[in-house]
Amino acid sequence: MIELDNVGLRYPKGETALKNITLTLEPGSLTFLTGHSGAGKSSLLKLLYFAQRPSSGRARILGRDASRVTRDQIAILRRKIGVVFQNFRLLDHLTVFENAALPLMVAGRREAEYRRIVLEMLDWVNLSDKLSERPTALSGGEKQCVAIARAMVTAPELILADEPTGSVDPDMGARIMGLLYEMQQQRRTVLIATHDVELVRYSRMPRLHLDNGEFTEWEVLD
Amino acid sequence: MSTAPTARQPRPARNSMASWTVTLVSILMAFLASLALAAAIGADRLADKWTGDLAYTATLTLPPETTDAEFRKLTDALAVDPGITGYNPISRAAAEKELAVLLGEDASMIKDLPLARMVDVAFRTRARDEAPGLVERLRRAGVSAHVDPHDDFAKRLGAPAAQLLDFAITALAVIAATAALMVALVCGSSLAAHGEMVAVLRLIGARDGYIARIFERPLQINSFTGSALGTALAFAIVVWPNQTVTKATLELAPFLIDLKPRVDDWPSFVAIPLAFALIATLAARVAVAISLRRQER
Ligand SMILES: Nc1ncnc2c1ncn2[C@@H]1O[C@H](COP(=O)(O)OP(=O)(O)OP(=O)(O)O)[C@@H](O)[C@H]1O
Ligand SMILES: [Mg+2]
Repeated sequence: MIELDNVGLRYPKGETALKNITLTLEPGSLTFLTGHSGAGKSSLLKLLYFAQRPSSGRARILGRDASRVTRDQIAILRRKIGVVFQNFRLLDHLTVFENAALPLMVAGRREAEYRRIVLEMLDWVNLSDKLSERPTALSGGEKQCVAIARAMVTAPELILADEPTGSVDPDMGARIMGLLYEMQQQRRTVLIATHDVELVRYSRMPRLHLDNGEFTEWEVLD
Repeated sequence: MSTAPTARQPRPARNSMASWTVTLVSILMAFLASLALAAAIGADRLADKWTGDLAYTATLTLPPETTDAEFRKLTDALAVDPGITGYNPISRAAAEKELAVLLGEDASMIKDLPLARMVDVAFRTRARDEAPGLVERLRRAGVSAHVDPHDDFAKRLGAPAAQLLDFAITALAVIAATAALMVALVCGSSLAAHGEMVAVLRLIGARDGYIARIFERPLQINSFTGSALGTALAFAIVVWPNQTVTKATLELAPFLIDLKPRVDDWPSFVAIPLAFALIATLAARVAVAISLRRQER
């Protein structure tokens, strides 16, 4: 599913964000990614959804060499990847319903096909009464729920979640984690970047730790 | 579950300033384009008329002092000439009438003017090529007539008509370029204002073509409706009420034509809004392509 071999990432004018990253993620795995602020968690996720090209090393993602894919191939590959962005990245001029339905619209699906899925997803995150609201009228936690819904509506093969529980209350956090575990049960690959040590500790799932752009740990906590 | 709103295709946030700009500029540009097109069609028709109808005819002239007997000698020779398809002696009355157009109806001096005796002749091919042969045959028959092939005149008339056509076509090209630039500019500013939307659409799997269509569509619609309105306005205000060249004028001056577009020209005007929509599509597509190429991935 994902194979990184000695991958490095350097931003055009910035510092080196990732160094010597070697990593394999199998279908049906759920992995945490931890590290201090600026350690490179979001950068690693960007690499995995093709937003950044590796500066060095080899990266195979969903069977494709990340250094060689074309823009059109990237678009098609991204339809198999659900991303929960750290800053949500909702479109303020669209409604909650439209935001959540966006990946399906973009993939050319007809509303009759996806309407029920989107409504179920939004109901599941308790947003049924806010379908016509704009994101600007939502709380931080509610925005995060829309972002989760949007990432999941396509039932993607690869799920990359950047701080997916950072803005929600513990109840909703637990629900979201439950959904991510469920995705893993369905043999999808899940990678969760988080600062939330408790979340990792109670999960019994493997964790990768980044320190200044390098892996320092790969462990299963008991 | 409450009743959900239906989802429209994602589109840029409504920007009434931008859509009004595109619509209004399209109205004005299409208005201009309609006038330029009417001018082009008229100039083209004039050139056709002048270079076409006149190309095969010539006027034979004998000096004013020519006697009727001498004139009859000319018409007799023409009656049997193998090189012409017809001839038409111009009576003194007809000649005076034509002069009156130039000098004014009540110019009493016309009656006393010494007028050349004239015969219009028609050839099978271009008058310029045929004229010397006719003059030679007439000389052998004992008539020395001066021949004035109309296609020389037609060529000279055709040149300004062609010039007029060039001006009109240049105006159309400049209008098209202006419309394209205007759409590209508005599209560019719309893309700049929607950087986050473009980025997010890309991140959730939209292809460049899909994003391009989203930004093209409002520009296409505004350009099309604006230019359709502009064309209709040009027709209603300028082209249609335009004073018709009267039948009487055409009889007196058969080399003139009415430049007003005819019913069979109307499809060309329908093409204006279609051309504007096409130009908008292409200009927007180029603007989107440039903007997307600047984006990372
Ligand atoms: N677009 C960018 N251009 C240049 N440098 C960047 C860019 N994005 C991130 N960086 C740099 O890369 C390094 C890693 O940033 P990154 O966002 O991956 O950290 P992070 O682990 O996600 O941090 P946080 O926990 O605060 O989200 C930082 O030093 C940051 O300044
Ligand atoms: Mg981050």
